Amino acid sequence: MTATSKLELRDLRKEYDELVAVDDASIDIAAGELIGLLGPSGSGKTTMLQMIAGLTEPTAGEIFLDGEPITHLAPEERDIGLVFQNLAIFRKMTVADNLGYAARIDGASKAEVRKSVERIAKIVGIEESELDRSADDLNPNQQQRLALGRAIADEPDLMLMDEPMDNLDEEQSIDMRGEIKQLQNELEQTMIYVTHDQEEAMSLASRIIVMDDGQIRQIGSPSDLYYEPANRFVAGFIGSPSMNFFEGMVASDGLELLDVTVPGGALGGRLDGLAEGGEVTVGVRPEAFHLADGEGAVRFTATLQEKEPLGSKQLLHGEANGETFVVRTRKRPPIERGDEFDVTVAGADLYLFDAESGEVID
Amino acid sequence: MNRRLAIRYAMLLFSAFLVLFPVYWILMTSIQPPTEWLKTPPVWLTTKPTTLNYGMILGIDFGAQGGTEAAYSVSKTAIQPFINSLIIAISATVLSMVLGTLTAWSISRFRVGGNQFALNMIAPRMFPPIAVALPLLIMYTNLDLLDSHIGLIIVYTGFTIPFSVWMTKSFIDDTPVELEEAAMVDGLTRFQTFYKITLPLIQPGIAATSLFIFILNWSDFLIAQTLTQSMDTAPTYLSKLFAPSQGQLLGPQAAHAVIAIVPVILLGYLIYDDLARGFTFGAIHK
Amino acid sequence: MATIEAHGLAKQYPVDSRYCTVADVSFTVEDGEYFCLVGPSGSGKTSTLRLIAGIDEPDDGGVSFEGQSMAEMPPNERNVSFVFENLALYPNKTGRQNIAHPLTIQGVEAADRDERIEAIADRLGITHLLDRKPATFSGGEKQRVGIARALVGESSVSLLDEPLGGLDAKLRQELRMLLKEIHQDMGGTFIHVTHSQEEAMSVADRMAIMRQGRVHQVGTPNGLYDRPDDDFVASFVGSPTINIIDGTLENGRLTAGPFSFESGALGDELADGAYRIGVRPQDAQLSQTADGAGYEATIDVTEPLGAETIVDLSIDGQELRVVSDDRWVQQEVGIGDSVGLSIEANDLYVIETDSGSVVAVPDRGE
Repeated sequence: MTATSKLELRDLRKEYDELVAVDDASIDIAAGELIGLLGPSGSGKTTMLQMIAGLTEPTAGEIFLDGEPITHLAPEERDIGLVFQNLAIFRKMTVADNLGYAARIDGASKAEVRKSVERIAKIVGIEESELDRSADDLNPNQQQRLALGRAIADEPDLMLMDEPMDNLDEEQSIDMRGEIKQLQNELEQTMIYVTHDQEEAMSLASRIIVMDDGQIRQIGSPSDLYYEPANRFVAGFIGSPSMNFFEGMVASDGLELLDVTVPGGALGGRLDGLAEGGEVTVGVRPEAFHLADGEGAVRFTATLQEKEPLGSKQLLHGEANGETFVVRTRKRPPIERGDEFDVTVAGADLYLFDAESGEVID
Repeated sequence: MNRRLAIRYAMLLFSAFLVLFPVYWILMTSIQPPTEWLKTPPVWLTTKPTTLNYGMILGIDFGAQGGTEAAYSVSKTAIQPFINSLIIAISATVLSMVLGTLTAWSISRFRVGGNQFALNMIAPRMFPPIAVALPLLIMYTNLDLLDSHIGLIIVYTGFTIPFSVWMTKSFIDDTPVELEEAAMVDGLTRFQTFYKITLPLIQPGIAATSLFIFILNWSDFLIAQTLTQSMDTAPTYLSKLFAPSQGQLLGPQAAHAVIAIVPVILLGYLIYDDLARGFTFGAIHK
Repeated sequence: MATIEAHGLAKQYPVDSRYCTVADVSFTVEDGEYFCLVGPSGSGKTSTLRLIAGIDEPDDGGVSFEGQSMAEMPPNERNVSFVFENLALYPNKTGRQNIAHPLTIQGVEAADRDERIEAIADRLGITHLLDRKPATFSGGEKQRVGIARALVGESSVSLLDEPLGGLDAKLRQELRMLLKEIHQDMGGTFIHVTHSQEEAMSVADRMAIMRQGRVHQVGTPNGLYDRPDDDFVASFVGSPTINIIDGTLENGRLTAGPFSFESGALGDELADGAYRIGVRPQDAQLSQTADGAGYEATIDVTEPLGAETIVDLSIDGQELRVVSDDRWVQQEVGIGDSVGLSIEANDLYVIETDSGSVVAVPDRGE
């Protein structure tokens, strides 16, 4: 809604008969931002991207690019670059021809085109020796770079990327991530990056839009989403290992959790206004658990089911009161499967969510 | 578009005609009376169909058609030759396939005989069989194998093994060896994996190859002619269907030909599903 | 049950084979262990597994189970099971028939067989695939059917070749723990091949680090992390990768890049010469100001990953990657900011440059 926003979506909606793919989404993106569009498959993120790109007509709502309405413009009339999974590169053309396509169409001279091609190749990390190879001959990693290069060559107002790393193996995609991040930063290219991998979104984006079932669940920086999730879905989706959830119940003297009663005071007044007997979902991040020597309002004993010794950190799978959870610690407690161990959590580290709506209880 | 389509259809029809016309002609001739066999202009559609020709070669009297057509007696019927051919062709095909698939498997999995073995096996087969007809005759006379089922079975097997090896090998190559390895780990011996795992998977290939070899065996004339005198196979019998006064007995010959097609068509029908897959399956050869 | 010993295994494969040479591999797997063979591609781990299974014969050396040599023993007599990297599911059999195969050959009774198939299918979440054929399965589904076929027979030795390759991160994590559970319940010996050190550390009781047909080191996950024998193991184990900086030891000081340490503080007597120091990203400390810290660094890039933040820094041109658990690193500083960096002598791995051997490791007080 601000005058300086690059992309604005107002109540954008897409329905397919009975199915609501995108449910009244409103978003504001500033110039130069790298926005992550994150959610499980079927969440509506791809549909959202397609509407922004112009590949799908919205059922309702409007889209503004640089303040101008583009809601019903054809894709080629929008100044938007696309880097999609089934890569948009000309397979039969050489790498150089691919990269130079936009410039040639604009009528640049051969020398200018070549210069532009070399510049872009350098930016996306394509070797000069590859320039005259057929696009078809490149490996997936290089093809990815080519698709990126082609999109950049257009110098679009906005760049959209839809799960571009799916064809690459884990190592390659981690490398590409860093490069895309630096690239985006240097070029100050406004970018929307769609992915289902929360780690990818967290590592790349300055702000992330989390979607589920057609709805936007939360928009925020990686840090905000992690430390201040607005609801149970975001809390459980962001972070690996994921947040642990327990069943809690509001009692007269506090919160009942895992055979322990947490005094209301330790929860900073969050229990005020909650009816006695009401159910609450309690969330605890794996690193929030402290072992034996820790302090905290919540103390209980658990049995170790499994240990994952990962060198720099240890993941302990524990079970208490029929509920299972994962502890992340830098320490090396000398316990084995079947041993009992004490765990504490500070009241402030407990996230409380409404058992039905999933909304966070502040 | 319409013009292209029309041309394509025209070409298809033409090819179909080329292939099917001879069959039609033979079918027609087989039910024509002697007077019509060589008539000019040719009789396209007989008005006087008769079972005389079939009767002659099968030795069955279907009842003479009218009394005016002379019954040309044929000294022997075609029944024994057909039986001989069936026995020989089926045995030789089975033997060739069994030995061939085993060899193909050995070559494919264990590189028996070196990398060129399959090629070396099929190259000599490119010689026309007539080159070895005379030597075979001499050998067989010495071995007293003339006029015998066994004799022909051996020769046919020998002649077709290069094909059965070559063709099944390409199907075996296309079947991942890991399946045999997995089966070994599951508890089968190496050899068991051959017939329990791999063979079932190349069924289409086996079907196509078997049919091909059967046809070769069933229709051979040259070798059979060379190595038999008193015994007849279907093709050699066919060549003997003439009467001094009449020349070639075209009608009975046509009837014989019609009967001869039957086993091949029958076999093709039985293995039809496998056949369809088999013809293209091995085509994707690495 | 079986103790498995590989001694001096060596095998050369034909040039066009997809399997890599094994030069000299020896290790012992204890009865009931979950053992991993880890290494980059081309290290010969799959080849080693095939030699243990008996699918291939070694050129040199041998394999013994419980002290009994396996030479001349074909796979079907070794009572092992194998999960192939490319799965090798029988395409003309249904999921059920695939999984049943080893049981059928063993002669297990139909009722017992069906029960076991249902049980393992349930555990691996593939019950819906039992009556369908592999061509209709997704990659992840094929993987799970392959695992089911291998584990249903409950053989004393289960060999798994990249059983979780090609699965997405979430599914991989779930299945890892499932494999461990199944191993616990079954009680057999597992040998699991993977190229992912994180996967190996997560599941293995002990693991062997391999490279180019040889074993570099065998140990527990934490053991290999704390006390690597050489620079390869030090770099391979641990994520993000350890920072390695070239340096020299002379006049009682070890200097590497902008860092300098008293050689006495590094423990054992070290001779002068060329050394490299290794610092794990988690072992360096960041502080908001450079006061009181050992060094001042500029932030190049930060990756906020929730519980931890990965920070790429530069000190006088030397790049370093650090992992911090502190919230302020994630929320209060960004590209271009200066922070304080502390590295203690006790945080260092010291590597002799020429030999690649690790001569000093951090004391983690265990």
